Amino acid sequence: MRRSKARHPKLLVAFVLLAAGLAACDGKSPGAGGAGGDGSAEQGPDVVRIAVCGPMTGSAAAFGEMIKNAAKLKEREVNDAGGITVGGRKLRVEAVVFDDKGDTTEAANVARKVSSDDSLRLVIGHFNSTCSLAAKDAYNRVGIVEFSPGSTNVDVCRGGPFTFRNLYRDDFQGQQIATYHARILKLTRIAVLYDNDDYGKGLMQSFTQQATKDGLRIVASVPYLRERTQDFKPLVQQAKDAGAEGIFVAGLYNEAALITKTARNDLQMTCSIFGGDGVMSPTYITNAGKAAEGARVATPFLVHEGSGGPEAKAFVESFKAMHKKEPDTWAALTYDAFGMALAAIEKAGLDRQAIRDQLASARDEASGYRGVTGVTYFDAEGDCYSKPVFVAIVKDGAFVPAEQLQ
Amino acid sequence: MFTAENLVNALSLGALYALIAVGYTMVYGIIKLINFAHGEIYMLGAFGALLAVDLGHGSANVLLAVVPAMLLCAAVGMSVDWTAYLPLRRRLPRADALSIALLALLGVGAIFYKLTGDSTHRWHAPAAHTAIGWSVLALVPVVILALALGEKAGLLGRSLGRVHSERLNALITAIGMSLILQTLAQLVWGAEPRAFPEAALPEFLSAPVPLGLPVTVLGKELLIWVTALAMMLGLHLLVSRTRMGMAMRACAMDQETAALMGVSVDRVIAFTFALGSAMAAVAGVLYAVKVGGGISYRMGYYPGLLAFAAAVLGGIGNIRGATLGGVLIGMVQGFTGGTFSAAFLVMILVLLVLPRGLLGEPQASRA
Amino acid sequence: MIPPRRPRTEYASLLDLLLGAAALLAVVLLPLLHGGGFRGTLPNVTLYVCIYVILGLGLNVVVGFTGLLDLGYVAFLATGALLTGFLLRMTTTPDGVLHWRVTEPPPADASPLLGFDGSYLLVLLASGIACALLGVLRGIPTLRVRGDYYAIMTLGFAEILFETALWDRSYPVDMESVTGGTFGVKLSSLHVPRLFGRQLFYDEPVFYYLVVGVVVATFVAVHHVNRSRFGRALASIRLDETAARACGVDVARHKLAAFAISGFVGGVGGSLYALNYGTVAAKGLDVWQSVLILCGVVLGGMGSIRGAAFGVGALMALGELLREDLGGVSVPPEARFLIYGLLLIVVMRFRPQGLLPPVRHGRPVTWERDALLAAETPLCSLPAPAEERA
Repeated sequence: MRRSKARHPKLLVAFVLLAAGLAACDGKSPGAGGAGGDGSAEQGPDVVRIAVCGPMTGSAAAFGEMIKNAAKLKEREVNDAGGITVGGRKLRVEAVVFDDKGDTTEAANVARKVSSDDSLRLVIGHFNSTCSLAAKDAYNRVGIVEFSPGSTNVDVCRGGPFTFRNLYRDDFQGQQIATYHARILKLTRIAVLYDNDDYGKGLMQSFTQQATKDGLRIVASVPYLRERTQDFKPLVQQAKDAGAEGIFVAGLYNEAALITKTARNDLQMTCSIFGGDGVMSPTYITNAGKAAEGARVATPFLVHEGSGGPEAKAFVESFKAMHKKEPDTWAALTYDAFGMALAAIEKAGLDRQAIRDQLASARDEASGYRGVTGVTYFDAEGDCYSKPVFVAIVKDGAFVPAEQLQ
Repeated sequence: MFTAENLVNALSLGALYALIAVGYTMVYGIIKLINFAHGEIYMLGAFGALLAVDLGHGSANVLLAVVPAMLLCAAVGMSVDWTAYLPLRRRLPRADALSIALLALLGVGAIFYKLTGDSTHRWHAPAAHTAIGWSVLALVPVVILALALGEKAGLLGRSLGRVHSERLNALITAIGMSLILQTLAQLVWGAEPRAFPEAALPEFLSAPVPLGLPVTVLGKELLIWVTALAMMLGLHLLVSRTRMGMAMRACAMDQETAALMGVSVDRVIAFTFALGSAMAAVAGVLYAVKVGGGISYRMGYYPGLLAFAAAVLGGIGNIRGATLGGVLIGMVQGFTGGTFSAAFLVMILVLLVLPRGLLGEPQASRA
Repeated sequence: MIPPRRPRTEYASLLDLLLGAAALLAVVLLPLLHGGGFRGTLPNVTLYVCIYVILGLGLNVVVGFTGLLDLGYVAFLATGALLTGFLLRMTTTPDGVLHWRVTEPPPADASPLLGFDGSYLLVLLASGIACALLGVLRGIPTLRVRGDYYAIMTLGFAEILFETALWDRSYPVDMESVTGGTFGVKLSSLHVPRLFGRQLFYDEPVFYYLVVGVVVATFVAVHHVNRSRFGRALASIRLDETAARACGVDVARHKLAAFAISGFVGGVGGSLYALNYGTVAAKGLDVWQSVLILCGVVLGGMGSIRGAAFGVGALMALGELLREDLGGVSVPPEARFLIYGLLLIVVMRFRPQGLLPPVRHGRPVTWERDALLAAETPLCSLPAPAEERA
């Protein structure tokens, strides 16, 4: 007994030491950062750090990889050219990647961390609408720009002076997709399968609204939960029983692939399959295989020989050279967002508020940023209306342009 | 929604849940432990078949890949017992050494895979960070080894011999094992769900079977029913007709007496784990075939929970009960559009009326 | 009856008191010494850890004191958080119309119903009471089952609650307008309550010290519960339910009371959780959260208050620190759970009583020895176990 009595304080002491050690470690890191900043206080730092936040792991990791790769490409290109010029000084650029796992709590945590790190000038991200919304408050409270290259939910920029995006909103997307079904595909009975989160539900609602105006009938509206629903047969069966001529999937690529396979292979449905821009990932085609042939997908931009100007071609070439992979829509949008952010910093300097004002001043085609995906400029809320909804179709295992509206 | 199509789906789900549930129930019957890691074994079954198909360069048939998946899962199941539960049942240097060796093997295997595996499903981080991070991780088995050696020197004051370990401790160990297996699968195969390549799936799986019924039954659904039925029959024969089956029943009744009668209890328990795991592996592969993919490190969680609910519903420890419970839970889920809550609600309601489940034998209140 | 003699419950040694005081002092002074004040990684992590410590202390009442494995504790966290979001989101327009649906944006001229200073304390209390009720309601059906069955039933309840929270208008009850469905409830600066004239944002000193205050209050309250006659009755239920009943302990009533206390603390923790993040959705609150808190409690020592607090705190802090780059070292993010799993197994094997097990007469008490020590009643006294005499 004496032994155990003696052991106990020893353990406690060990923990205290451990805790002290951890505290020391942690105390050092902000201090070290501060010292770096202080040392060159008169001149300011010699590197511009930009946070890149997205789902690097988790069930939307294919998006995260593209976002990260595109940011790294821009970072390298700018640094190879000597960096950016701010106030007459050449500064290097550094993209600091944060993982929000596509999860709201994680996104809120990341937002806290990023916004309290004074060395970060701006945030490119988040990707999932849910995450952008969860992170929005922290960024707006502290006053750092959140520039999303992928969130389409209507509310992402509303009421937040520091939130921007360089693609359309879901109300526009849903509207266009509904009209596409009515005018081009000439269908009347549509079943909607939607991911029950901010993105899927928002897109489903705007689609349904416009669809009823265009004389379509929504014969089934079936929610599912990402990472929880695995067996889609009962859900697709509902669409089939309702006599759907078309299935619209408002969700992400993994679930869309399962839905496509179930509809085509198991239920032998020949109806049209249309996905929102969350389906726009090469992984969709990999997972769904032959079943994906003929499926249509909405996207703000298509990386394809036929679309985009010389900037787009150069971007595709250098992306392939650096990452040995074809870029997708989200890579292109991230690349542009990063470029636009750097352009704003070159003009406005390193002050977070000044960067925000500079971005917000891009209000028309002339003052907008011309990039791979076209011209980006904002309205008063920070929403972008200059990107059309482009429709792609899967043909021989790749996305190619489909017939367009207008 | 009581439609014929839903019935077909519900039966398939029920058959799969029953296959998983017997694994829970057999282990519980003998060592009174909810093997929380069983859902993860089921997940590893699907990944095992995927690995076999990948190694066969896409030409391997999924139905053949079931065999290596079963072997893999049987091995993992036994290893789980040896790493996590055996040292809790018996405090023997031998058991500890085996456990530590297996844990270290897991760690080293993961690191090895990480360093040599393909680059498509990887953790994205600068290489130097990864290397340092992994060396930190590699320290874990070393620390455990040190702890074990320290224990031998009497530092941790643990007594040797047979112990009546708290059941709660075993359950928490099982949760820990479940976390470890899930994370390892995520590290090895990445977080993105995957699917069997189309070349590995025989044509007949997605073709309707001409049964003359008013509802379409696909080849894979028929396959699920036939396989589940055959395996259940086989299990029944094994438990009731063979020596090993007799030993299993003896251990379930009274371990100490069985040991006195010359039954090697630890071997019987390991065999039970292997058997349950192999059946779960089949369920995992068939489920992935049924839904058309979705093979991910998280796939075992909900089917595992539901199968466990099925085992409890049927009366845990009872193989026929698990089968019945599995089919019931499958029905509930199939007819309620795939919700989980309805299945749990049914389980809770049944437990309210019959605290020991449908076929569970009434026992003294002290379990 | 339980003998009314001086209870053999947890005594704090001088060292413990000193360490506790030092830890509290460190938490209180941290934002003042930290360069960035109340904004920055360190205060953020501290807040986050403190909230989980509250939850751990609450879970410990059922798992540690009463010996029932609760795998669905997240139900309280979620209920407290969602209720807080719902209450704070309620607005009234000048003409007296109440707007309570969280799915609809409030009208432009609306003001929060609970906009007065200090209203949050009421909300905090309401969350606690609602969860205490939930705990009792959830507890009643589980009274007949024990051990593993209890664990799976609580887990089932959490899953049912999770799915019910997502019900929209197509279901019998429109839960979405209360819980916000998968969108969750988002508190904009209009809805964040005020205390002492300051808004309760995560980076406000008021909020920081409110959370620290709740941690201390919970600690003291739970300690009193444990030391009381009631606490000893719970211990007797943990050791042997049948024997406890034979001694005249009303097992059902005591269990329900324990569930209520545990639920209350969980609800309070959940409420603070909601305010800390400013956004709360049922989707992020799944059973893994329960498992995480449970891991912490087990690690620290089930039944030990300082153990539970230390275990949960250390686990959460470790998780957050592993996320950081410590001197260029970063552990792969997924590996966090690998380490949690290994910790559970190793602790269960080598130190099943946890890192800081309950102490009695200054000695650590293991669960194995517990039964023997508990037998030291005036009526029958057993010789100390062989190992103790050595």
